[in-house]
Amino acid sequence: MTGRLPLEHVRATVLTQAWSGAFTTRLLADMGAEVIQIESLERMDPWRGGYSPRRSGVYPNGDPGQRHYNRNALYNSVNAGKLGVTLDLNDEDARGAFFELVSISDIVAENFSARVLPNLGLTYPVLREVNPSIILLRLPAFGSAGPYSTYMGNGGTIEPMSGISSLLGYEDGPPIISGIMHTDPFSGAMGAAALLIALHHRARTGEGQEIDLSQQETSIGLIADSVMRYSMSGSAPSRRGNYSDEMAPHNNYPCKGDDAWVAIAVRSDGEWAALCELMGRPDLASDARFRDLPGRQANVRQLDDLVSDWTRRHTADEVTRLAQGRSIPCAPAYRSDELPGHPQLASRGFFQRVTHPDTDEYPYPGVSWRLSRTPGRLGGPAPRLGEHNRAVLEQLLGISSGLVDGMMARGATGDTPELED
Amino acid sequence: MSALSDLRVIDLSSGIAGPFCSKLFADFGADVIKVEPPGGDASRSLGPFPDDRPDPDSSGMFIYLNRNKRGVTLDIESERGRARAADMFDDADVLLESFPPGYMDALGFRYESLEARNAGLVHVSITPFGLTGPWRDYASTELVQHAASGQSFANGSPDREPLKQPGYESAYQAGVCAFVGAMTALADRDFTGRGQFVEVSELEAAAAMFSPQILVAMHSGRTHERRSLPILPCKDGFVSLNVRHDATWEYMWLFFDDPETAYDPRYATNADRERLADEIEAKLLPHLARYTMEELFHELAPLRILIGMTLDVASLMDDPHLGERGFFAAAPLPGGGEFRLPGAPFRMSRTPAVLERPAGADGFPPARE
Repeated sequence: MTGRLPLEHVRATVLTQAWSGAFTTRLLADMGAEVIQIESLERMDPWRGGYSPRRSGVYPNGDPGQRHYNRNALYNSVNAGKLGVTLDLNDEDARGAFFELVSISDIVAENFSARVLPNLGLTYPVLREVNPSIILLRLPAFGSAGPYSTYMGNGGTIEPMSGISSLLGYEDGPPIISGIMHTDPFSGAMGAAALLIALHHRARTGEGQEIDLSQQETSIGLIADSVMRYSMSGSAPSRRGNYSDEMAPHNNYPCKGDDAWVAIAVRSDGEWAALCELMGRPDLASDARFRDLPGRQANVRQLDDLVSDWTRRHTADEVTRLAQGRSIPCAPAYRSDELPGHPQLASRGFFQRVTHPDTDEYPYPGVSWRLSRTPGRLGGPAPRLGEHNRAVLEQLLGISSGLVDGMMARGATGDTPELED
Repeated sequence: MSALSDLRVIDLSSGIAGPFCSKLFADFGADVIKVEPPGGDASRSLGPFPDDRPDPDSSGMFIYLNRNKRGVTLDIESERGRARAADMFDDADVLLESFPPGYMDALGFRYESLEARNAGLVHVSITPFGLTGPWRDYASTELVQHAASGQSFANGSPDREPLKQPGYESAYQAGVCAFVGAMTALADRDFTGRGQFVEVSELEAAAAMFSPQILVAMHSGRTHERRSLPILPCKDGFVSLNVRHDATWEYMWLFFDDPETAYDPRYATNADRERLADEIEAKLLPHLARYTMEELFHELAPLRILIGMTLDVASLMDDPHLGERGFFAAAPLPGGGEFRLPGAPFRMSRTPAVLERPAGADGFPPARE
């Protein structure tokens, strides 16, 4: 693809890792920003796989290969299109290189717990001395201030700490954590929103600023309705499976096939009557137990059994075609490995094939906002550990190759992690 | 000073995704004009309502999403309404709408013709599945989006139905993507002087969020299993506990005064511990039963152990950390009194969110003409 990219004038030097913050900065890279990912050889990004190649599912065909940390699908997904540089920020020369990068960057971003940045001596006042208009995004689990701010967090602890887990689960079961840790990418996208607001302000005033984004708080935003319900009524909402106040039937129903499910959401009595026809049970539409929403709510288990009797005889695709033919909201419950073949995503060319030199060619989910004149794209594969050390240190910063050689010799930069354990 | 005070957004969207996008504009100072159809925005009927009594001006979701915006009512399908809307578009930086595919075109508001009158206009469209493709006209709800995007399949027990996440997550995901798309187009406009059309599909917004899981499935050839991680019971609730590193493993068992387990060679590496997870959980439960969530959290979190308390909404609103940060805000109710709701989505040191514009004709809640 040629032509202008909308953020090609932006450079970000980032310490983001794992999911949330790394997703924030990948979104910038998709839009053309130059994102320089600073990594440590001593404490590798957890999404490079830690120090042992233990979770084989993240590697191509389960094979960690020679340098497993360059083959991890988790890391490679959220760092596509970035430049990768390793620096030991306790080494004087490496630290100097970091500050030089800050001096020519628009953005610094990180998602450590709040104690890490001060420990590294990289607070906003320090960075501002190097670059008066720098924008610093801090995206810790619990924010950069407050009693819990120094505590570590991840999706598995943020979901319960934000109230989401108390609402997620079967109506007769314990609270659970989602299978996906979905708060990370939402907080990550909110981080990108914050950075674009700050860039807009800076373009008009020249002023940078510091942004404090608490993943706990953005996650609470996902259940704003329950927060307000409690505030207005005084009773705390609880787990209800897939049941809804406004709709019934409203569930994932079993279909023909192994562990196959279809979501059906009936919004009105008219849609219920249409579903009854599809089910070959027009009698149910006028059945006193089910003809209006209060009745369907009161008899919801019987209702679900009746709908399941029908859905079990069809595939999820068949049910979807039939129900959507009557404008009833319905879709199969897709599995993650089926999504590249999703007819809607495929027809819109949502997936983009990316070849990583240490893995293979895979379809990557693409950019979810389509700009007509300056569309984004995945800018290429994720960097291998330290892949762009020389390009950034020597070519961009003009550090002599002799100095870089010395840094490499003492492990202040390089492409091989310091293996422990 | 507000960061976006130079921007005017004409917001024709309704429901949640679009209004959440324009809420971000409004929170950071843009002049957002909310244009409602004569029947009102769908979120006016969503609630929650004070004492559960439905009232279109007291819907919590409507107020949360739309305060700080100016409001007008307009029948965009009438000739007068169309003319008025066209005038508003001439004077706007962003036009946001969530109409079905083809609706704006049928009204004569194709982007090409809007752009001919206002070259800098950024036109943002949010739809459930996109403006093209075989599903473009499919009906959708949150439950359906969570299923179609693969979010539901991974939630719950392997022997039961997949679970949707609580609330309106798909809508928020699409809303923030629309905002980032619009702001990106505005950043480009600073250089080119030209706006563009920004198209957001809720399904694609969700699928992009889960790109790590999708790519892992491509690598392994297997789907992400439906097996939600355990939250473990303790004295007064549930905690989520994630102990991966050797040092934190040791700290945790020493806290439980169980050095035998801390130094048991069978649990020496993380790989061993993952293999013996069920056995370890059985050992852990009696220890956890002796402590409250708060005791465990405040003892273990400072040892750099990943631990979370399962806070319900009531305890969330009394949480001392959130209290000290002043996260929750209050909003007045039209009938008197006030209620609490999530505050600023993030803190910007120079251009903080402005959550309370003066009430009145141009203030809260959007007046209906």
